[in-house]
Parts: sequence; C-alpha cells; structure tokens
Amino acid sequence: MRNQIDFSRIERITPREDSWDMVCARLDSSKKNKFLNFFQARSIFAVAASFLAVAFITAWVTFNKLDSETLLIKNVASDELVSWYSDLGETTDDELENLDTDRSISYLLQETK
Amino acid sequence: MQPPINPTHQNGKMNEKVIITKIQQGSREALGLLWKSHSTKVLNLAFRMLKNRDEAEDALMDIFVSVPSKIQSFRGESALGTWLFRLTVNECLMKLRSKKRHAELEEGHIDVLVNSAIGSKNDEALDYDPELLEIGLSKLPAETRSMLWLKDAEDLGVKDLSEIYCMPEGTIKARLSRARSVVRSYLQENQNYA
Repeated sequence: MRNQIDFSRIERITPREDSWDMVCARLDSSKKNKFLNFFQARSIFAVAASFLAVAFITAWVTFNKLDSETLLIKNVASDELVSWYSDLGETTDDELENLDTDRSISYLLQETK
Repeated sequence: MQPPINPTHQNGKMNEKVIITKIQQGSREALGLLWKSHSTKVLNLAFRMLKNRDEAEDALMDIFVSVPSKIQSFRGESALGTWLFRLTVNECLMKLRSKKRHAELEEGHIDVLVNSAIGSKNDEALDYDPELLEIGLSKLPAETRSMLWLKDAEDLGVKDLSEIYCMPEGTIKARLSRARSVVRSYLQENQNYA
C-alpha cells in the first residue's frame, strides 16, 4: 500500500541461541514445581487430618472417662450403702448401666434417707 | 539446542490446528515448531514495544512459557499468529505498566502533532535512514508503535489488528494514520539535517 511506511531496511533481531533451551528449562521446572506443590498440599491436609484425629480421640477418651467415673456406684452412693452393696458380693466399681441396678439403687437411696 | 523438527511433517510444517491440539496435549515438539515459525516475529514486536533487547528476550520467553497453559482456552477463532501477537502486546503493555513508563503508554499526546504537508505521495520516494526511522518509530506510544509495526512491517490486516487490540477497525485506521504522520513528520524534519 502506498500509504505504508517502508520498514524493510530496519534490522530484524533474532532470538538468542539459548532462548529455546531456557524456555524448555522453565517449562520443566514449572512442571516439577506443580508436582511438588501437589504433594505439599497433600501433606498439609494429612497433618491437619492427623491433628483433628488426635484432638477427637483425646476429647472422646476424656469424655468417656469422666462419664464412667460419675456413674460409678461408689461415687454416687453413701458409705453405708456402698458397704451394704459390697456385702451382697457386688463390686462398687460397677457402673449404673443396668436399669435394674439403677432402680434398686434409687430405691435404697430413698430408704436410707 | 534447537527446537526439533518432525520429518513426518512436510518441510517441518504442521497444520495449525494440529499444532494447537498437540500443544494443548503438552507436546514440546509442537511448541518447538511454533517457536521456529513465530519467535522472531514475536521478538521483533516486543523489541519495538519495549525498546530494549534484553527485556524483549525476557518477554519472548515469558510468552512461550505461558503458551501451553494459555492455549488451553484458545478456541481457534483467530490465526495462531494473531493470537500470539495479542499475547505479546498484552505482555509488553504489562511490563511497561509495571515499570510505570506512562509516557510510553499514553496515546493522547500524538493528537497534537500532525502536519498536513507530511504523508504526501512523495514520501514513498524518500529513502529513509533506518536509524532515523527507528528513532521516529520510538516517538510513538508503545501500543501505537506496535500497531504500526504489525501493519506496515508484518503486513497484518486491519481486521487482525482489530482482534489483537480489541478495537473497532475505524479506530485502528485512525490511529495508524496519526502514527504514520508522526513518524513521517519526524523523518522529514530530521532528514534535512542528516
């Protein structure tokens, strides 16, 4: 086109010899980084999950321990009643899990008042 | 090491769609072919915009490193070369913005110039000094400079430029016309003293 400016005499530069190698190296390193990032992300999740699991187990054990302690007969009944219960050949470490035992204890508690 | 050429492709050429698909699949060979066919044009465009050889080389490498990921969203609506030129223009503008070379980016100031005597038919007969032409070109803002380079040196059409710069064809034509006037004005003023 007549209106165009003629740039044909302006020197064209060409990429340096090692430019392609550098592009390849950067592509390879970004691949490697992606691979590492994948595992780093996974290990962060694994550590977080471990912490959660430990916290959950600790809370569960603590809760159960407290629960069983409060429900032991020796903890809820008077010395007189515990002594009577032991004389029956039962152990005072029993828990109040059984409905019959629970009812008996409740009855005896009322009787001793 | 030079990019590989697969002998199964005629003259080292691969169909553009095949190249796109292969690069999307992660083929380094296809990327190498793209490098072979377009890296010089991309480098020269970047060099015209950044006016610095090292920065242009950096831009070229950044662009080709980003091609495998960016080409995933390329739908093939434009030619691969046009798409690469768009990446180049955006990359260079980003680099200029990060350096806050605002004067390079502002289009406004070239509206002031323009000389009606310049741009006459006689201009084509003038044998411009390439160095002077280079300086004249550098008087333009980076985006306009790249636009003029792509049109007059790389022979791209106005439609392609419209796709690259996301501007209406009329705007492109107007900017090209103003840009030519600026360059010619500079050349005429300085040719007399040369």
